[in-house]
Amino acid sequence: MSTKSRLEAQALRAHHGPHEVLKGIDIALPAGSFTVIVGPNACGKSTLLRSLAQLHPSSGGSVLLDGHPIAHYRPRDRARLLAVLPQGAEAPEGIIVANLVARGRHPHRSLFQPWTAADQSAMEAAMEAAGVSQLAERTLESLSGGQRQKVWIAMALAQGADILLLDEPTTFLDLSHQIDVLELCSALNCAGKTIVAVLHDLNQAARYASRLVVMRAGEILAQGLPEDLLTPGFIDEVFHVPCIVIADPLTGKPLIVPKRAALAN
Amino acid sequence: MTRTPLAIVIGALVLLAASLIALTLGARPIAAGEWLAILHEGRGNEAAEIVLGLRLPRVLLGAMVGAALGLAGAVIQLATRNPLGDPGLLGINAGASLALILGTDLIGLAGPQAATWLAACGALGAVLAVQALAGARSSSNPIRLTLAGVAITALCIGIGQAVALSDPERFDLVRNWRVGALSGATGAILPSVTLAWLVGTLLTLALAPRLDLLALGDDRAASLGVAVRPVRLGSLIAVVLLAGSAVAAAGPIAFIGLASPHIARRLGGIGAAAHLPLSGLIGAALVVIADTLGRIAMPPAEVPVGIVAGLLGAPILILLARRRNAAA
Repeated sequence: MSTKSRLEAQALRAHHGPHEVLKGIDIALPAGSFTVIVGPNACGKSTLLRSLAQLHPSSGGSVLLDGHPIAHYRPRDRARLLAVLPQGAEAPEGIIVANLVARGRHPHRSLFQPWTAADQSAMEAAMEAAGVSQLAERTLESLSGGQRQKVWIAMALAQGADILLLDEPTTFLDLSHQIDVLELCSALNCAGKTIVAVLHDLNQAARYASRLVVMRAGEILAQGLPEDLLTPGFIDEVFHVPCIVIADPLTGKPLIVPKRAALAN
Repeated sequence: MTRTPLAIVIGALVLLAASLIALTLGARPIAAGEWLAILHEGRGNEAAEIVLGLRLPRVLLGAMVGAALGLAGAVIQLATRNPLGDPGLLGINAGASLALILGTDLIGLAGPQAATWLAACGALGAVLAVQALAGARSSSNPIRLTLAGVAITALCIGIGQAVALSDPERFDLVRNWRVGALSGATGAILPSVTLAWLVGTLLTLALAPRLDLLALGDDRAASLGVAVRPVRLGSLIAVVLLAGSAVAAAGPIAFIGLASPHIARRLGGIGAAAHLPLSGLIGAALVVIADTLGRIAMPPAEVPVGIVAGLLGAPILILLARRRNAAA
């Protein structure tokens, strides 16, 4: 893994109204890494992701994209390097998959410029990579939640950005679709994308992340390899869940097994 | 992506057909033979005077007003992600109308051109009032925005009625700005109406691709490189100019802005940038058709286009509301 960081925050602060949600975050995302951010609800995970992408105004500190302050980029140039999948998908009624993915080409097109062969091939490659080519003519409403999420990922890929920020991409999906989406992220990561995702499931985080970032109350408690961070004592401290940690029999990664209160001792 | 130019052509043909019918029908119908004579000889006979002198300006004005309302409705629906977006429902037309009713003295002093800008100011005031009433996060809650719009509409109409009824002289002056009619526009107001319409239309078309992305949500649009705030501000200016020009020319006409974008979507699919021009074309055709219906429905009286639009549009609103309920 290269140690050059694509995206970096220094002493990053952010507010929701009067409430300080990020209290000085230092984080560096190396090129080609798959970083997963975990932490209790309302710890600032989503705000961190949104602040890194300039979707949420920061109230202090700095964000560097490829070594330059991100605010200095034109929005269009930034969009060619960095794609975000925010929570809460909205799409116009009746839109078909191909048309939605095509909208990902926006940062590469100028006003009144016709759709080019390059746009078309980028769109097709994105749908192919996300495994949604055969859904191209379907309407978004007719798809399952997991398929929809893959379509949104295809749109981000059509954008041509190397860095993907995904805010809870597996929430509201059933288990098989969660695995589908995570496997897709993992494949994209192997193909060279730098990925940052907010996840809730610690076992999934441990399994897929090359780097884990643990947050609590607007601060980063620890970051590093999942196998180094996820100890029973640490998990109890952050999530207040007594547990044991065993090695995942398939991957050797940490597997967290919560204890049951009734059976404790 | 191939459907869009075809849909634009269809929209233009519908508008052309509606215009030809509007030119032909009326208290004095124009026969096919008379059409040939007009095309060959131009002005000079009675039929030509009726078609070119009376009906053509009215059709052109109707098309302009309708296009403004259709575009404004489409912009509001995209920018607020509110399928019930319409300058009539959101109080914008009523605000413009009220400004005109209150401002008759000012227009008398400053000349008829002032009416357009006064209407645009009224529209802006209504937009700001509706947003203040709906709260800061109204873009995420279409119901609040619509309710605020209904409240502001009622307030503006109420004040306008009270002012107009208390002053008979003013009542006569502002009749056309209360109901919505194409018969009352004077030529004197046209330069400013045309200017506001042109600027609003060009601004809308320039914003079209970005507005299209705004419909995916602010975060997603921003992450695609759209500068959300400037686009919102630009759409606000466009809507205010379009609604202002429409109301100054023809008074408040509801439902055209609501229905046109939905019909455009049915006709053209969701083919990105073509949605806005198509909404404008359909709005133009709808107003021309509604005005023609109003002229021929109960001769010799004319039903103002605003009332015809209300009669035709209310069922459309109910249909949309029912369909959304069924979908939810």
